[in-house]
Amino acid sequence: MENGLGNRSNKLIRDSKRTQYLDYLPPYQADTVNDVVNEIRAADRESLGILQNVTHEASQPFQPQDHPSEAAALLMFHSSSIYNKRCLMAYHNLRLQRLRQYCWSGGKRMESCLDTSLSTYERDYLTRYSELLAAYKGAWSELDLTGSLVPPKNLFIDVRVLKDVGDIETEYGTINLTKNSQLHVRATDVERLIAQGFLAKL
Amino acid sequence: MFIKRSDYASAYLKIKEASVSGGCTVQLFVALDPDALCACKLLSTLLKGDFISHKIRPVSGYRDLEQANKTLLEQNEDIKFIILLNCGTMVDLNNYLVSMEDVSIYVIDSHRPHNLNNIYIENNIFVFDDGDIEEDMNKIHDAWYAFNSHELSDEENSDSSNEREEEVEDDNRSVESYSSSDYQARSRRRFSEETTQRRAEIKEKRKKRKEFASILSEYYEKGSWYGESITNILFAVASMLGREDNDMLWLAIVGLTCLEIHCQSSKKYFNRSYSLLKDEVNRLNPSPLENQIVGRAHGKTPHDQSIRLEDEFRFMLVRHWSLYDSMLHSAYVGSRLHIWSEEGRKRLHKLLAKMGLSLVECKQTYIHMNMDLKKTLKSSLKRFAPFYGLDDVIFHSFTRTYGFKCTLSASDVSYAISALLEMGNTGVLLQSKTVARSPDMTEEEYLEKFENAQNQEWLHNFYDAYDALDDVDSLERALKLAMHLQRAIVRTGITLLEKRAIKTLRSFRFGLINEGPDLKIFMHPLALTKMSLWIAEAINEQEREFGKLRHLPLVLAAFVEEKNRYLIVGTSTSAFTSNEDDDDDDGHGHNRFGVAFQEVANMTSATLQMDCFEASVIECQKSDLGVFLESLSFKTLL
Repeated sequence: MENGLGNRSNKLIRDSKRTQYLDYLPPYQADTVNDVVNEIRAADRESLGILQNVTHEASQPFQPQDHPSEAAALLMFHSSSIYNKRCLMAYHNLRLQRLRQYCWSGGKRMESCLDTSLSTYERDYLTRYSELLAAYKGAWSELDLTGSLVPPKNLFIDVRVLKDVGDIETEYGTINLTKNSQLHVRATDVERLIAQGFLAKL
Repeated sequence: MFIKRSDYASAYLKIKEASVSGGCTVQLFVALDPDALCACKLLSTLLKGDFISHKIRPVSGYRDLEQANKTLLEQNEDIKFIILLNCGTMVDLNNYLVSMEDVSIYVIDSHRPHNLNNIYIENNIFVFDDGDIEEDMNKIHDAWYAFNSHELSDEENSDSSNEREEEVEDDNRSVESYSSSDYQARSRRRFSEETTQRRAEIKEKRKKRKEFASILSEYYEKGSWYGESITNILFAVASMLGREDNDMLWLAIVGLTCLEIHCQSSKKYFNRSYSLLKDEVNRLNPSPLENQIVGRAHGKTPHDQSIRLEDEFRFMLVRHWSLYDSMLHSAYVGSRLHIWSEEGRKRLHKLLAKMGLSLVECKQTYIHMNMDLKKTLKSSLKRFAPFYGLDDVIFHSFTRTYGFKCTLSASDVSYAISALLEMGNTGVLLQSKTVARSPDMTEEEYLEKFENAQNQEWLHNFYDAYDALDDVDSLERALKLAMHLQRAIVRTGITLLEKRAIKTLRSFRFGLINEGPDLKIFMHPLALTKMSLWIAEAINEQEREFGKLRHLPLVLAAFVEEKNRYLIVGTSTSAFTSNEDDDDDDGHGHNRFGVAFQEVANMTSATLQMDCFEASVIECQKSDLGVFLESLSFKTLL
């Protein structure tokens, strides 16, 4: 049953299901996707062949009542193709959704896997989507559209420095961020650094 | 300069004023000990309440402090206040911190003696005084002042004035350098054409100076001891500002108890702080109106966070261990009953039998022990314990309820956080494996790498402990660690005593931990100190039974394989003298090792390293241990 119809696309769906619970993007399954596409093509070929046999090179219309077994085979191939297509779309949709989400809110683990786990098309999508987003945001320069929608509880937060950052300039002066120190600072000053994974919020 | 008790609040308000600009103006350096940890938490809560942004940086030793200071402060113009918690008062801070005009340095430290330059020179260093500078050190102040002003007026002696400055800084050598300056003076006299009157004047001056110098050096030579718990100092700040609450109070209690279990509290301050805290507890935790007996073990409501006064046994972690284990592993009972010998353990069994507790019952977790037995435990202990020398087995302490979750006593929390400081959340100690050694590394490079890794780990542990202070679950987990640690201490202690591995030398005893499964634990000074306290208590108790009242201090060395060094700790305190009469007020807790170690370091060529904020902790190259001990044995340590 390893190569049964729809098995490969099932694999993609299982992968997507797993992706839902991860905070990073697993590598693009190029092989499986190719296999599924080939499966669809093969199904298409098969059904065309059957159809040609029955209709004698399209000289007469296909009557399902006259050829019940062929009709069943055609139906099976057709529905498997549709199933495969839906699976492919679901898989890609989820990944693109994650990419869009990344563009809007960022994430340090996501960032680390961007280089390795995207397909060329996805990378293309990411750059163009970021461009679009930047253009969209450009209209409201004083408004940070990518900021968090949840209002902060406190003006100040506690953060712990995980990696040396060095000096950062803030509205009220310089802050020096060295490893192994804990700071109580304005949330707005360090939000970006938290997203990038230099600081951990307590 | 120093800040009097009454001026604490205004000192704090200065911080507040300076932070109006909004930048990150306050920098905290925190030593890695439990009291400093609690103090840091308390201070940080205070600052947060005022929306003062601040930065906390734990420091593991003098070198770390210097380095952190360099990287953090030199180019940073925003910092206005540096606050040192439990570090720095013993050294001349001008040598350690980059001094800048507009930076004030607050030193809150329970280590004593103070470096007099810190407290008396009028500069930007402010030492928080717990009362002794103001009350007891007037004479020393006069001497110091006279000594220094004298020097200024006497310009002719300017050539030797450098020397004199050194004397003040490094008083240990004062005696030697004294004789050399005398010598210089004498040679000068030969050439000078001074009148006899002038000569007499100088003589008079010199005599006075000698007097002053002896007062000063007497102050330093007393050894090192501890002042008031710094958490309590900060709690005093909070209550002056009217900002104290139950959480802060609990921190203050834990801080005090930490000093107590590490035998660092002096009787004077302990009693004062204890009665103060007691009043605060009663004030902030009013007892419920209806005086009903609560059937539940823990709190009445899920949000019950109240602190209560409670009589506690001197058994370690008794609420979370079995009664038997907690008695066996507590230093107090252990030393009184001699549990390192078979006979001693039998005695423990006998005591339990007399109290009507079966061993099966005792070895159960305390919560599962028979309720009736628990109820009568206190009265039966009161009755039978004195037969075994356990006179003050019950002491006054505090407990805090954490909702329905659990009830922790102050000593439970203290043990837990000091275990966290030593071992961290995971309880995994740094191994030589984790610090990989590449083949082309030299010995020094590896040493440096290992020290860095160790530093990192300790700082990490600090944060684990810091987080645990407001997380009950991790505190409870840490109790397990504390038990593990205490087992290791008792195990190692018993081995040392059984093997009779504690040698008596001329002026001290010496024990060496060279091998064994728990060696790694004792890489941390805090753990080694606890170990040495346990052993010292055991030996002293043994001697006391033979009628000896003067005990030799104990030096304990643990081998750190990766560094090829020994970590050495000197203890002269006895753990539970606070209720006994044989300790005179002055002698309690004075540890002469700090001075002695420094003298040895000056005398010998041994490679020694004193990086720890505790004066009585030193590191020594493996091959130099013999030399070190030899010269140490010529020092008077009592």
